[in-house]
Amino acid sequence: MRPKALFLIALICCMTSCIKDTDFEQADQITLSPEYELDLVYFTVDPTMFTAVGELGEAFRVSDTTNIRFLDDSFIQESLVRAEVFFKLTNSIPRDFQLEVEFMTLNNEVQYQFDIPIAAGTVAAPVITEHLEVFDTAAELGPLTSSSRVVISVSSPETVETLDGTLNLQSKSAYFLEF
Amino acid sequence: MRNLLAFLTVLLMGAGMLAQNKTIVFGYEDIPQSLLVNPAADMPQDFHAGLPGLSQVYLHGGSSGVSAFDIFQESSTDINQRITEAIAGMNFRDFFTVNQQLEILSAGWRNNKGDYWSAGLYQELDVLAYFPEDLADLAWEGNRNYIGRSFDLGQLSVTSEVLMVYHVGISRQFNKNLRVGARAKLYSNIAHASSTGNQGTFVTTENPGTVNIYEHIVTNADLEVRTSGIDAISEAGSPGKEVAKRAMLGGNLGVGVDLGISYDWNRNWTFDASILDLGFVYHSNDVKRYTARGDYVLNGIEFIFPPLSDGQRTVDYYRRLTDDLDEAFPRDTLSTAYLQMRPTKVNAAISYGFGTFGEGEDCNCLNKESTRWRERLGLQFFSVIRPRRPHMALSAFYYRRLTGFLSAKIAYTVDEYSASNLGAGFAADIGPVNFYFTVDNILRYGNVARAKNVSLQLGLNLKLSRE
Repeated sequence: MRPKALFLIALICCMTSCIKDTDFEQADQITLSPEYELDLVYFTVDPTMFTAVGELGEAFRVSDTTNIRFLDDSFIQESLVRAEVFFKLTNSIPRDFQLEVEFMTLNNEVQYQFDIPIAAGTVAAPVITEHLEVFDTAAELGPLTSSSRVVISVSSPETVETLDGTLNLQSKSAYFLEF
Repeated sequence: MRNLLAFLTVLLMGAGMLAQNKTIVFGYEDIPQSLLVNPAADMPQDFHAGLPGLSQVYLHGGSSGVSAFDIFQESSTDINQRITEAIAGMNFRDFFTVNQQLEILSAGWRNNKGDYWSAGLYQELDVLAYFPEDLADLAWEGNRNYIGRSFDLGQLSVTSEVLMVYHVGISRQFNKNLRVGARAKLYSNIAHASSTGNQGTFVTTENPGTVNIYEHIVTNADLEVRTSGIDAISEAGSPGKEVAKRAMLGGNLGVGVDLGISYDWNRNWTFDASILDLGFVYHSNDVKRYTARGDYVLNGIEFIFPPLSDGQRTVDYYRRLTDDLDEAFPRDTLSTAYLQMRPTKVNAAISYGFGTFGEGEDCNCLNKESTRWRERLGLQFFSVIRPRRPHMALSAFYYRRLTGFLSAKIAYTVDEYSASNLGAGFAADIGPVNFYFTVDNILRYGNVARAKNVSLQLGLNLKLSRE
């Protein structure tokens, strides 16, 4: 091909260059949907830490509270489409317990609550209880993202003070976001 | 966020992968601006002056790993799926780049000794961002499916600057075979932001025997973002005036030099080489350096069930955790000065000149006293020093003077990512008016969206000779 012809073709290509078969409007459909897992709380309690509660001392309980300030963040409120909270309890105390989890506002207004029955174990043969709490409807996610505090209580209707063993809790949370 | 992503994607996927690889202009002495690519260029005219603001308009941007078409193609598949595939197809060696130059003023003249002097000023924007593969995975997918994977925080490597360059250069014929050139540059930096040399890892592990289910571990983190000029411009009552002030030596200054040679091996063979922007900018004005360093292991919040009396507040675990985080990662904002090296470029070419000007011509070149052949065939090498490593390209080119007033050059460039980059350009001298136009990646011009890199340069000059 003669150089002049090549030059002409190149020039035409440049002058007629265009963007084809693309749709930049699709940018509106771009959605990030990351899934993050994060440790939550953990503890180990022994029978001496339980205290009597109620006017008649009808139950024995340990309880603690922490703020989780990111839960009611506006970004989380708008982006969270599913959440999971997973608890793993290892009980070597020969007593059944009830674990109560409460999500509440900073004004201590309970938004979401659930219980986990914990089976008794022994020092020689601890019993593991696992529980997965799933939040995937608006009715469940709303209360969760209105909360910024978690209260966890372990209780038994009978005294445990004289028993051996420990109760260990490990937990993690998963956040499924779309934004 | 999605708009930002789209903007960045469109911005960064358009043009030449190797910023400032002016393949066509290098050695193209019909274009006066070839002096900016090799200060030893042998100008055929005795005087030139650029049309202010229009003598060199240069745009260049590119992506080594993905094209706009890869993401925004009209397709039945979901765009998010295509982005996922694009992220999976790239690694931390991939990068996005934008480079733009606008020559404000330029002129050149030959003195009585035959030296060709040139001077001028141009504005330049340079942006380079390496693809932070690990951080992109973390942002796009999260850590849930990557328990045990170590994310490299050091993959964050971004640099951007906008500056004005004042320069003066000389091209001198030392002897029959050797021509050398040099250009002194004064950089007037308008704004700069970079984050390079980062290090550290983040991993979420799940091992038996730990206090909680996971451990989130940040190890040896050492992150820094350096900026200058940004606060001054954004907080100025009149940002335009502040930009103008900083462009006119009122910001951070630096110096640099371009050096070049052109050596005629024999009558046909010529070797040209240049090193550009061998220099630095010293940032001491309106400097902000944001740093974060440290190690941290997060296990969650440990309940200790403190015995509390009525009305006593419980332990503020969350505050304690954030305090621990702040202590483990001391974050500072410093205003200490820093030195920024300019991205030094190296060009080199070996070429063979040949060809008769016309049928029956006795002369086999346009000017027998010089080696200004009508045709030239050669190989070019380009390299630019970047934060991680030099980026390199190799081109084969063919130059031809088509008529007395029109010449053209084509180049085929290969590099580590692309082997099909055909560039072309022409220069026309219509009377004293010189017009030139060059483009890269011409094979993709049928649909620019498919190109991973595109660049173009054009300009208008006035060229005069004594004869």
